[in-house]
Amino acid sequence: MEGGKPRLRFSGKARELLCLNSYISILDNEKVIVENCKQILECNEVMARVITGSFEVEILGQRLMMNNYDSHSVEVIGKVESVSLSSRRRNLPKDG
Amino acid sequence: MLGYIDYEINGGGAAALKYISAEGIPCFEMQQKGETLYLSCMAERRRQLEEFMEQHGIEYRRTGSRGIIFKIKKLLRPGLILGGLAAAAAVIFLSNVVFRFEILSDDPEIRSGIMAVLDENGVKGGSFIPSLDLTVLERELKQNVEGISWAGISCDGTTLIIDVIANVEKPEQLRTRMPSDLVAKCDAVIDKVEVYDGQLMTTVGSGVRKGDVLVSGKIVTEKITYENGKEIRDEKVRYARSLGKIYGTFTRRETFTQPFEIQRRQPTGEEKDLKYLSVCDIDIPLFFGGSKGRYSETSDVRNISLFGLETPLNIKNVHLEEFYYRTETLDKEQAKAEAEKQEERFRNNFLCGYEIKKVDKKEKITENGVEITAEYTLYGEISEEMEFFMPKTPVGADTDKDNEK
Repeated sequence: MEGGKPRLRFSGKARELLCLNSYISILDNEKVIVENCKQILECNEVMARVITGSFEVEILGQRLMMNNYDSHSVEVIGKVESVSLSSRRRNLPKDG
Repeated sequence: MLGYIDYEINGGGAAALKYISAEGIPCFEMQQKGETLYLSCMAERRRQLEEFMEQHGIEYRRTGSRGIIFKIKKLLRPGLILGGLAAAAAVIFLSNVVFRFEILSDDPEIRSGIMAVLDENGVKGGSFIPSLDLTVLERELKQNVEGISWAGISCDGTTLIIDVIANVEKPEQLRTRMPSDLVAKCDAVIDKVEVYDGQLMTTVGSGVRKGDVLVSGKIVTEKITYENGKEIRDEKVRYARSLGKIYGTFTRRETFTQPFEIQRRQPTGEEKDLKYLSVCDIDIPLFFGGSKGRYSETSDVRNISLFGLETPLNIKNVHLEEFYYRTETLDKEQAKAEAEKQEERFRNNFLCGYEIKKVDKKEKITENGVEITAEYTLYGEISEEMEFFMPKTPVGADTDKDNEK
């Protein structure tokens, strides 16, 4: 069904119910908060990369800096230019 | 969160980041610059992070520290610790020291008496309270302070509270019920008699010796009746308090001696002002060293007020004037003048209640000084009251009845 709602699988519903999904909040171009972060890959002045349950989140910008809290969430501050997600799974559900 | 430590991690930054995110170690301001990772780690978790880096051979360096725990550590220098301990020791010591005396009595004589007895027993402002034996002090106060029948001492902080019960004076009426005589104070010739109660035992113009009863409190009345030509004596005795004044003329002899060599107080001209900080009853000297020598002193106390309010702090200024005793040799005239002064002082102080009819002075000069012997002929009251007890055994039936009346 083109243009319809994305079809959710059972596993996707379960992840939502168990709060295993990653919540990514973007505050203007100043801050990006990634919850349910599994691993920090790198954080330099222009790029920060973290891994969540299903995605690898790549944040590009200037003067980036990362704060890590105890609750598996990270905060990237600086001048954010882009946030991109790439799936870590091979058989991700296709939209439509 | 007590504080943060700033790290500079060279090489192995990626492994450190992985470990930090895996273990959930709170780190802030993480940023990689080339091969170097900069971050701030919470002080509570630093040991965990450092152990990891040491185990994996990651080089790191502490570049700084922030937070209250590090500020406290900086403050905890030996001097400050010693100062704090000294202050604590001073507070503990001073809380056991007498600062103030509170005497629960308005009578100035009792208050001064209590302070004198406490001072004799070594209790003064600054005494160590645990070393005071309050029971002994209470006993000393009860025995040595006139005018009190009970004393209790208690401590309230640094204040020594002395509670006393003043003596209850005996009712005057008990004394007035005692019968009394008027007796002669000295050998004299009676000139004038004023008797209001009692029985006069002498007459005007007669001589009496010291201790003679002039007016008797034992009044004996005798009534003689005749029945069938027989004399019947009815004697009655009544006891009274003798009231009256007996005036007479008498002589008194006094000798005044003035040695040629005398000690006079001579000021050296040196004067000092010593200041004390008076806190309650403690005088803290605001100077170093003591004063040797003989000094006469005068003092005044000035209160330190704060915004118009009176504080317990006073500045006591003691003015000292040094003196020494100088031996002075008088000539005969000077010694005689000094002896005359003594005689005059005696006359003004001790003979002011009498009329001086005649004075005979005889002067005698010895090796050591001048002697003036004065013989005064005085006129004045010569009687004094002397109480006596009524005999327990009744003199007669009539006497008892009369007394009951």
